[in-house]
Amino acid sequence: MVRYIDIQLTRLYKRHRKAYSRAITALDALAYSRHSSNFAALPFDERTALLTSFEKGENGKAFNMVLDHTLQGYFGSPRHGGNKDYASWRMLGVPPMPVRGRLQYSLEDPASRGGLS
Amino acid sequence: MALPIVDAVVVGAGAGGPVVAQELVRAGWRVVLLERGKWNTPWDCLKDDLRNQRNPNLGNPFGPEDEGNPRVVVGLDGKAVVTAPYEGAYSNNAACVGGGTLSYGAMAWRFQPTDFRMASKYGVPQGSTLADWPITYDELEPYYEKAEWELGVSGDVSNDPFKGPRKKALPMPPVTPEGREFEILDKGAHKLGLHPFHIPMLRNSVPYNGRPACMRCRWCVGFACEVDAKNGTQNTVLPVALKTGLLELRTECMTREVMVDEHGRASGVRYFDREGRTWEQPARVVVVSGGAIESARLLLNSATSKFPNGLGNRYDWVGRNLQGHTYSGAWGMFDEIVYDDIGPGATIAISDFNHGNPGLRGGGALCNEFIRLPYQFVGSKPPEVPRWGQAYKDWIRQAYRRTISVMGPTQEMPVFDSRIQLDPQVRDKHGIPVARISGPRHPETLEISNVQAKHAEDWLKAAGAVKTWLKLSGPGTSGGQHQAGTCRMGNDPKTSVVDRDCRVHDLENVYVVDASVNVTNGGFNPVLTIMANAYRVGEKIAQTHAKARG
Repeated sequence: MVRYIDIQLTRLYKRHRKAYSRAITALDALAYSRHSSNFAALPFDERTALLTSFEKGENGKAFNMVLDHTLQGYFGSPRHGGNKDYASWRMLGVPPMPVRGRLQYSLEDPASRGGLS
Repeated sequence: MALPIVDAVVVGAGAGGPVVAQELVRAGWRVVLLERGKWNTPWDCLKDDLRNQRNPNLGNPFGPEDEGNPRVVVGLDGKAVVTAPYEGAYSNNAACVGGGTLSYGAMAWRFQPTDFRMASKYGVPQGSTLADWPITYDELEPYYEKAEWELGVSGDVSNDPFKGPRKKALPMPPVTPEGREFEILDKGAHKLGLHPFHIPMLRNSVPYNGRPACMRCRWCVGFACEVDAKNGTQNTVLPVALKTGLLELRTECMTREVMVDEHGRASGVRYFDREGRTWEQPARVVVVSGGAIESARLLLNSATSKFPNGLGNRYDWVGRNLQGHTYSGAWGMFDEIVYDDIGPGATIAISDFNHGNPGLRGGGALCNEFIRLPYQFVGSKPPEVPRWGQAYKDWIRQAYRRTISVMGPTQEMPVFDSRIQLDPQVRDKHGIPVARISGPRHPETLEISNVQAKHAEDWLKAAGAVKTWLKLSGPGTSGGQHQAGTCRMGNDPKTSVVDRDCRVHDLENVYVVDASVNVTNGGFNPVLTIMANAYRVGEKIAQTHAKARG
């Protein structure tokens, strides 16, 4: 997921680089003001609480952007760097990609494609 | 550089252009078809849920390219934003041979007779330019049939009591099995006394026209079909017309303007090829089929001293009345697993609420949705579920295979100030002024779409959903993939852009053939209506200009 964002920030999402660095700076500033620590070093519950304030405050737009990119990375095609081995698809119970040749195929009972009753 | 003259030049190889081209070729015309995009094939089908025409987060595989094709979108706050094709407000459809028909979901609706006479039926709401079409359903009926049979439509609408009269059944039966959602929703609809039926689709359910049947994969709307079972203009009318040798298709050619001579007649078009060179293609007839945003832009960009405001724009109607569809509906969560991984997903519809909503003008069809790929599903949550964190993850894990989505396209009330203009500053990679999109949706459109969402919710509840929540639309700019209305068809040149034959009022040899001419856009996906009208107009052009040919 982080890999997805890192990769995309060198491609089409170059345009978001500034927004990312601003958001990270702002989040760390918030973490310092509350816990005298940078964000990444804090325990899970503190990080969640900070993100909740971050989402509701003036950085809401940046939060939404990062959230959407996170969802893209986590649920999108692994070819872009996230969702390793279709981890999220397996979590949801989406059957694996049926292997079918181009221009020749058969319509099978979906149960036989695995993963789904 | 000038090229030898042809009988007609058609601009745009989407849903309309190739159909007109084929009809002209049938009449023995020599035709050049210009398309700004490329010719993709089933081999270009990349099943990528972040890069497709439905979710272009990482770009549009079937155009336009990310860079060099901006539009300007003016929000309701009056702020103008330069927008790229991968951003939602851009209102992208596609830029390739076949246009949207290469990668669409392929619903093949006929509008209902009432959809052509909305103003007579309901009266005109305040702040709307609602009007009747100058043509009727009955005039279009034979051409609907022609489109259904020549391109290939599957489905079964015999149980739809609200449809217009039709002479012939659809050429192909519905896909079988239709899937779990069909069974569940079919029962629910009957419980409510509704009239469910099988959605007509430009998709092969059996082998047709030498191509195979749908293989029922989950990658449909937004993607090219891997087995070429989806019927667009690129694999139907276009190859047939090209085979005659009378049609020449030039891809990656962007039309700059329609050229007009000193007599006020179009003499052809000027365009840029893929290397950026300028060409002039003289023609006796010019057909503009670029889609509702690009066609309006082209007419406006073709201003001359004789037509200083652009072609057909004497009364400032070009680009006006931009419409699309306001989608609304509901999600329903079921106890049991309803996801069966059998594409395309959308199979069942009702037309009970296209008209007859008490006190409201129109409505729309309601259908179950195409398969929601995981990333497409992420925004489907009920309002009380948080957007992230453990609770969100718990919800999506539960919900993904237990949720059915029912929604539909509400017919919009046209608004004069919902419009396409030329942006005074921003230009595309060729230096051509780009489209500027602005204006609101009509409040009554939103009112109707909210009622439609409730109907969807009722249907899901009757089908056994244990929890339901609504998907509502906001008032922002219209357009989208169903963009329409910007070159209105009408009898009065003062309140329309083209006449009933889709000829631009002021010019005897320029036609617009795409959803731009739609006076209203029906409560249905508009593609079959674009195709049917293209057959009608193509035939008409060949008759009208027969003597003009050299």
